[in-house]
Amino acid sequence: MRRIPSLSLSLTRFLLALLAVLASGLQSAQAMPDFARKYNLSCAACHAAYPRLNKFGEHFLDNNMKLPNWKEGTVSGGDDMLALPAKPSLAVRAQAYVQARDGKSIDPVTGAALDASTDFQSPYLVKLLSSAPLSEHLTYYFYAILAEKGVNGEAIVEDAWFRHDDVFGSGIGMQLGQFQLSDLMFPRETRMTFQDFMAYRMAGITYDRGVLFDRGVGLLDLAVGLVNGNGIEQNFNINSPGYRRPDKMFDNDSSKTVFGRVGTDIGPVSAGLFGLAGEQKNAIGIAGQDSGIRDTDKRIIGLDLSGNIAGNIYWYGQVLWNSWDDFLVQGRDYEWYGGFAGVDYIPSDRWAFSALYNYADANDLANTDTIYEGIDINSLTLTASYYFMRNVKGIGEVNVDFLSEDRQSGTYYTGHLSKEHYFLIGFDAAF
Amino acid sequence: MRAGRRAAVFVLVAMLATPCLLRAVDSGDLFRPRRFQVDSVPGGAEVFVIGGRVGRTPLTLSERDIYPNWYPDEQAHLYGVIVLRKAGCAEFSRNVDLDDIAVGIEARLDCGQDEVADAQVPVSDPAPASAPVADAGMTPAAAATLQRRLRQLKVLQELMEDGLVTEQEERTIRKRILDAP
Repeated sequence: MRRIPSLSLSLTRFLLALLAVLASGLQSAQAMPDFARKYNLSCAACHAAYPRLNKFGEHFLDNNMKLPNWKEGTVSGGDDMLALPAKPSLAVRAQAYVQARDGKSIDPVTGAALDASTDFQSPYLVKLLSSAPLSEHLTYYFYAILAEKGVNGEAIVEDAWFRHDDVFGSGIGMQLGQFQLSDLMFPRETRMTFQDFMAYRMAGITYDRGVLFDRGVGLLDLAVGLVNGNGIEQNFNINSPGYRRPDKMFDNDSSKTVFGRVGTDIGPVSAGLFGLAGEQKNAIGIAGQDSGIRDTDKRIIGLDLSGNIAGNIYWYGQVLWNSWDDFLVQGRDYEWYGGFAGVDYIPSDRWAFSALYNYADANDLANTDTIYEGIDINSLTLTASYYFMRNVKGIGEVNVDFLSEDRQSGTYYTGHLSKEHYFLIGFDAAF
Repeated sequence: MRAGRRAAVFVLVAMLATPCLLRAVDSGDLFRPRRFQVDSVPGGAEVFVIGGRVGRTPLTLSERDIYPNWYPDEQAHLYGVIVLRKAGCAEFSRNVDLDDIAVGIEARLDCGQDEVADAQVPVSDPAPASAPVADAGMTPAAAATLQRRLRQLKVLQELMEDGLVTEQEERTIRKRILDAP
C-alpha cells in the first residue's frame, strides 16, 4: 500500500480552515437556478437536496421540464404562434475543490509518473445551462462547460437536445440531440457524490448523438434510442476528393447503436432492464491506446434498481454486463462486468450524507497489457454535504480504494499501479 | 500495516472534521427547515397540505410540509398547495410560491355577512362594544375590522399567557394583525 504523505493531517487542517474562511463569504449568497426563477418556486419543490431530484422533480422532468403555467412571463405580442421567454434562460453551476490523493498520472509507455498528492482543483468546472419550453410540447435543454477539470481555453457542449413529448399525438416522446444513454437509468448530473458512476464511463454509455423515443405503456416505461456510437467529439470533412464541402459527418460509420430500457415499479422498488447493441472501433497501437478501423460488436445488458425510504433515504444499484467482440484481437471476445450501488440520506435541509460503492472487473481484458486493464475498480466513497443555501453546498468526500496495487508486468505500464484513495473538500453551487 | 492504519485514521479524522467545521462556519439554524407563517381572517381555520391536516391558523409550516420529497400519486394535485377550511366560510386554496414563503400567507376567508356581524359582537370584553372610534364617524366595515383586530389581539394575549405561543411568535402575529389592511 502506498504510504499517505506525513503532511496529510496538517494539510487537512489547513484546507478545512481555508474552507471555513471561504465559506463565511458565501453564506449570504442569494441565488436560484432558472427553473426556480421562472416559476417562482423554491429549489425544495424539485430537489430533496440539490442536485438530487425528489418525486416532484422527477415528475417535472417527465413532463418535458415544464409546469402548466409555463406561458406566464412569455412574450407573444398577441401572436398565438409565439411564446418567447421574456428573458433568455440561463443558469450557472460551478464547482471548486481541494483534493489530497494517492492516484497518479502514469505514462503507459515509459512509466513516468506525475504525482500531485495535494491539488487545488479550482475551478473544477463552470457550466452554463439553458432550458425552456418553446411550445406546448417542445422543450430545449443544453449546457456548455468551460474549463472542465482544468482544461482551460476550452468549452465543451454535453447535453444539447430538443424534446417533443407527444409526436403526432401518439403520446410518444422524442428527444433529438446529444445526451447520455445512461440517463435512462441514473443521471450522473444529479448524483450527490464527486465520485462518478464509473461503470457508465467504462462501458462507454455516457454522451452520444442520436434520438430517443419513450412512452409509458400500462405499468411499463419503454424507451428505445439510436445513436451514432462514436461519442460527441468526432467530426469528419465531407469533400469532393481534394475539395472540401461545407458540411461535416458526425459519425464515422453507417452503423448505429441501438439501445433501450424497460422500467417498472415493483412495490416500492423501481426496476429497469437496459440493453444495447452496436459497434465500436477496435483498439490498436501501443498499449491499445489508439482506435483502429475495424468495426467490432459491442453489447450491454444492464439491471437497475432503486427506491426511496421515508422520503429522505434514496438507494440505487446498477449492474452492467459487457461483451466486446474482437476488440483487441480478432476472433477473441472480451467480457467484463461492473456496477455501483449507493445511498443518499438527507436528514435535514442542511445536511446530506451519501455512500457510493463502485465495482468493475476487467475479466477478459485483464493481463492484456493494454490500458483496458484499467477497467478494474473496487472503491467506497463517503460524502458529507452541507447546504449553506438551497443551491450552495460544501462537500467533504473520502474515497477508499480496496484494490491492491499491481506490480508492473508486460511491456507497458498498465493495470492498477497506484492506489486511488482521495479526500476532497470544496463547493458546488448552482445559480 | 502501519500505513494502512494511518490511512484509516486520516479518513476517520477527515470525515469527522468536515461536518463539524461546516457546522461551525454556519452556526445558527442547523437542522431547522425553512419555515413560514400561515394565518387567516377570521382565525382558527383548519389547514390542510398534501400530507393532510396540519393544524389551525395561526401556525407555522416548513417548506417540506408543502413540498414533501415523496407523496402518493393520488395526492399529486395537492403538491405545493395549501387549503384552509372553516365552517361557514368558503374554502381557501393557494399554490404556494417563493413570495408566500418569504412573507407568509394571510388568507382572508370569504365568510359572507355572518362573519362581519359575528366580528362586531365582543367575545368577552365589553369594552370594544362601546366602539368609541366607530362613534367618531367610522364606516361600519372599518368598525368591524377594528373590532376583529381587538378580538384577535385579546385571543393572542391569552394564548401567550397560557404558554401556547412564544413571545417571539406573539410579536410576529401581533405585527401581522396590526399591519393588516
